[in-house]
Amino acid sequence: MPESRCGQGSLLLPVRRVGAQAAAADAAAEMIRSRISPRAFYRVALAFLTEEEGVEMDIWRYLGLGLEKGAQAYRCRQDQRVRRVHDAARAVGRERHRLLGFLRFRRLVDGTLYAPMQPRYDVLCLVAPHFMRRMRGEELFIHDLGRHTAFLYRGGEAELVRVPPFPPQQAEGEAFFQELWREYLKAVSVPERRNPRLQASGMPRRYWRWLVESPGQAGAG
Amino acid sequence: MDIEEKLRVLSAAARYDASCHSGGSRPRGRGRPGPALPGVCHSWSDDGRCVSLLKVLYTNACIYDCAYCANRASARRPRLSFTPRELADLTVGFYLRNYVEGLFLSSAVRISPDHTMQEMVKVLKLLRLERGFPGYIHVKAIPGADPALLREAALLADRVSVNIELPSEESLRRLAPQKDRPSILGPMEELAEGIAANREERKRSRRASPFAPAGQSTQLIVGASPESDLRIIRLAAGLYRRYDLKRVYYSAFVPVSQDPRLPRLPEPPLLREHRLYQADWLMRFYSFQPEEILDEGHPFLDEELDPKSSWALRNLDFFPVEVNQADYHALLRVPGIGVRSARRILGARRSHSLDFEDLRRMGVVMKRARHFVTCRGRWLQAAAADPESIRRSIRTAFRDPEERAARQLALPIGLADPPVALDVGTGLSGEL
Repeated sequence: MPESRCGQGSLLLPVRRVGAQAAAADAAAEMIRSRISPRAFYRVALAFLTEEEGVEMDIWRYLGLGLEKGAQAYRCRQDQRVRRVHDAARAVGRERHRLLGFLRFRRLVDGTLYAPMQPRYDVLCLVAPHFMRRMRGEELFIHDLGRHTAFLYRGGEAELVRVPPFPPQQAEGEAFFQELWREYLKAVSVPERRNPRLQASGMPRRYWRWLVESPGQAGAG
Repeated sequence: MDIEEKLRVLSAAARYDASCHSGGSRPRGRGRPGPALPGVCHSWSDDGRCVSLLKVLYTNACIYDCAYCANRASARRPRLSFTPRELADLTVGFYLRNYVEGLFLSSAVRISPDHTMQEMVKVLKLLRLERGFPGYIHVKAIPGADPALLREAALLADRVSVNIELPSEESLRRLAPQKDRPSILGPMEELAEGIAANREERKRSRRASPFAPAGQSTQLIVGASPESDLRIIRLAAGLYRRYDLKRVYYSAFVPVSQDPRLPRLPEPPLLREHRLYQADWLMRFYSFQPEEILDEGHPFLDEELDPKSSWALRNLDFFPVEVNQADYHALLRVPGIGVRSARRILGARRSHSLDFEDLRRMGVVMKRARHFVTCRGRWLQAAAADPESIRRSIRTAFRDPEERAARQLALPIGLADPPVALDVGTGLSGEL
């Protein structure tokens, strides 16, 4: 964590940087869960994934409030300490939820199901478990192209690795399924009800690049 | 005939079914039943509707001749059918690539209702029993099919639905002469009983197989026949009460044929459909009765105002509501306050009293709410007092006069029969 990111949080005390320590992190997580609430910990974890400037200090103040007054202090959305963390957690949760729908898998030559994405927040670890459950018996490869991270799942083993973007080799027949999907979307749209604004509000444009379909291109069904 | 052609034709034919719901069910297979899963939207089509299911007809070859339907027997068009295997492959392929959450299977009636339903059950069996498909399945019940087939389908699917098609029996007789009230309400009743019995069974034993765990829904076409909005929402309220439906879908009539029995509309009555959905929400989540939303003197929903604002303007003596004291139900009656903001208000005011800025931050739509609430006994300065100026300040502004004219024409005028003539008598009305 660069010092500038938490510098504004302490007026009097010097800032000291510490590395991540798994044991200390587990203990802290457990302390938050038991002394405040499991939900508070979940929210804090989500908020952290925004990777936004200063979010660590927001989290610090949020936990301070919770430890002092208990979880019911979080009911008060007017309190800036509460609002900042809740809003951040909600934004991350929303992106996770959207990607559960917008992620598109491609069958590669080696049989793996490969899905590229470029999320605003670091949601890879949040979306992966859903797909492990959903596609049981398949080998999965979910790739965050912006962060160069990937979630791999094969033979019952899951791992998180660094992978730079690469040109994936699609299996034979994959292009046919993609064509079917595009044809399907064209066919289900009712031409008399064309509504690009509504379409873009459900499916923001920044997700379009990694879809298989090209929204708005179908014209009259 | 190749699969691409079938997909094109049979999904285009299924696009007027509005439901895209894919939640409310429980994960299949493995372990104990977990919490009901929420739906996931996978794409939005160019008409702005969310796509979460592979929505297709099994076949478009039909023995019926319903006037409003593109697949009626008398229409000249290519007739195609999937095979169960083709459809199962397509569903699994789309599901694995995360294009969809599952399958929405409807069908025209080929050969006979029983034959069609049997073919559909074959698809479900192939998916669930042979492929172990864990995704969501919504299947249409074919009116007139053997109840045993219906039960079989319900044991394999997440949701089953029977379309009521038109809001009254007279309209059914006129536009869909081969369908009648018993053939639609019969299966609905059958399903309602099955679902209720299964719920009890599953309370006793975890092993009981789920019977349509995501419930049943229905759909009706708005604007193809002259029924009033009051009649439609009474019907919906009756269906919710009597059959415990999860949803009633309203589908703006899109003319697909030149049949003289059908009205000619310049465009589908989308705004009317939207207002009906708003009224439907008021009944399901805001404990409104149909008679509060509309009455015999005003049987159609106001195009310029949402139905809750309309109600509020007719009941100004209910207001103002003091947000720091009112109970949940009173808060829900305020235009601009929804289920979520009402809950937030209850939570937040435990710690301190709320002002208008707090309301705005909680997501209350102040444009509407400011005319109906007080905070600590005070009105917001910009609040108006008389119904006419409130109305002017909150009504839907149409972008231009032409759009407005087009919207208004979308009401069911120009029909052969005047609307009142059909409002009398029995039929699929509120007192089902």
